[in-house]
Amino acid sequence: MVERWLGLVVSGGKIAAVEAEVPSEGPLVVQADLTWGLQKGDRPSAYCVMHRHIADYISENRIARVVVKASAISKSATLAHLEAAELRGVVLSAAASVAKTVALAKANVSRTFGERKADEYIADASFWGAEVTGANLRGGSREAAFMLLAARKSQ
Amino acid sequence: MTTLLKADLAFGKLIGKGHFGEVFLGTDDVHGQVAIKVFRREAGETEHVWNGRKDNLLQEAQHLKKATHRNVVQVYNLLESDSDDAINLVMEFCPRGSLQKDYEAGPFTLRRVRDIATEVTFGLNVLHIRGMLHRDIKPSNILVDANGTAKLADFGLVTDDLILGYGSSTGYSDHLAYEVWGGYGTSQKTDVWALGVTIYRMLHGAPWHQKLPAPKLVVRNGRFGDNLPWLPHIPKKWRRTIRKMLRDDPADRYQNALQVHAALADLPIAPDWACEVDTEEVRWCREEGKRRYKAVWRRLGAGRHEWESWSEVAPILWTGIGER
Repeated sequence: MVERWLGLVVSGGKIAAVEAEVPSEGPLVVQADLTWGLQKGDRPSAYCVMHRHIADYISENRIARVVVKASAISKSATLAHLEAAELRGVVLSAAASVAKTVALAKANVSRTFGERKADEYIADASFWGAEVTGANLRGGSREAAFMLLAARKSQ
Repeated sequence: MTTLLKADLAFGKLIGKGHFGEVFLGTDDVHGQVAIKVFRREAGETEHVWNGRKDNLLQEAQHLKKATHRNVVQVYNLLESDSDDAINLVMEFCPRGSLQKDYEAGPFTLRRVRDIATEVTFGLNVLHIRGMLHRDIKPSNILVDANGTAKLADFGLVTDDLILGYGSSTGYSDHLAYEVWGGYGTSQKTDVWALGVTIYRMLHGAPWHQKLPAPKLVVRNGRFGDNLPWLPHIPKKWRRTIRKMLRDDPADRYQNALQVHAALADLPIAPDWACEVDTEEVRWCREEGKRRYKAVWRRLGAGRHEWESWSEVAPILWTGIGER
């Protein structure tokens, strides 16, 4: 049976989530392309709500594996970067509480996925035409889907 | 028919009454303190009909036992009474009771409504994903456990036939969606509607809500959400969100609990006014830093009212008299 995986990319207070069936080879079959925003107000409560939301989503939709884009080094870390990293920690914790979870660094993916860098694959429309099918995948969600392709290749 | 288990439950005091039976506090050997909902054989109910009802209840209970979630009241068991004239549904006991009394006392703060509604959407989403509908979301069916967690209760034990059959009875039908009055069945979107009405009621409280025409009298006329009056401290974004939950066309509503959850996350909770509604007066109070801000609206007579607002450190900031 083909497993369902979930790719997650945190950016600011938002999370791009792509759920897909991931066959051992061939295109991903996208089931859902979602954006989850952090609850307005105090961050501790918002993190708690997001943790529960992600854990519920993964367990209720029988997601077998979660791939999260890892934090990257920034020479000029701002508060926004640090808060995004906080949220990434919440995402990793929630996902790992209910499913096998890996954090993939984009720099590492660029070195191992293929001849081009990750961003070049992400920007290439023809690449996506061949690599995904199923539900519509928004341009802004390609990075989350790319995490799934990279995780499959690294298996 | 299916054989129901028999067990010795210790019954305590009556803690609630619903459309389908009474609820008692009790204990059992496995779970300790439990809530027991008793479905009694009705006068004149034939053996055949009663046995059929027991079978249906058992089927439902087996379904509900699978609905284990932090924000859903856990159903433990369905047991036949020794006298064979009642069925006891044994459930998780929530010591803080339902939201009904708080609702009757007056409006909830924005923060509290968002917290409760968020937890309810977690529970509702799980029910929907597992193929169930709630069909009766309202303040009295949201229970609060010892930790303050809101949980959905009293779900799944009613069929569409019963809901439509109860269409003319009091209370129950107030949360029926527009399309249900038109003869269509219940769905995830009718649960979204009922949650929308519940959120509106929590924001305004019973003293306000009871002055309005009963929804069961006006929902069928259409544009129910567009015609709701609002307490002035309810932000526009809240109003838009609730109106979207109450669109006549189910396709125009949030399509599921997850979409409602996302909309709730985007709602502001400041300024978080505490509000009291009386017959001729509405009072607001909030604290910010060391200052306490207050406002009062008074009805002076037909079409006439006055406003007053001030803070604790600068007594009268502004007053005015208005006429409609």
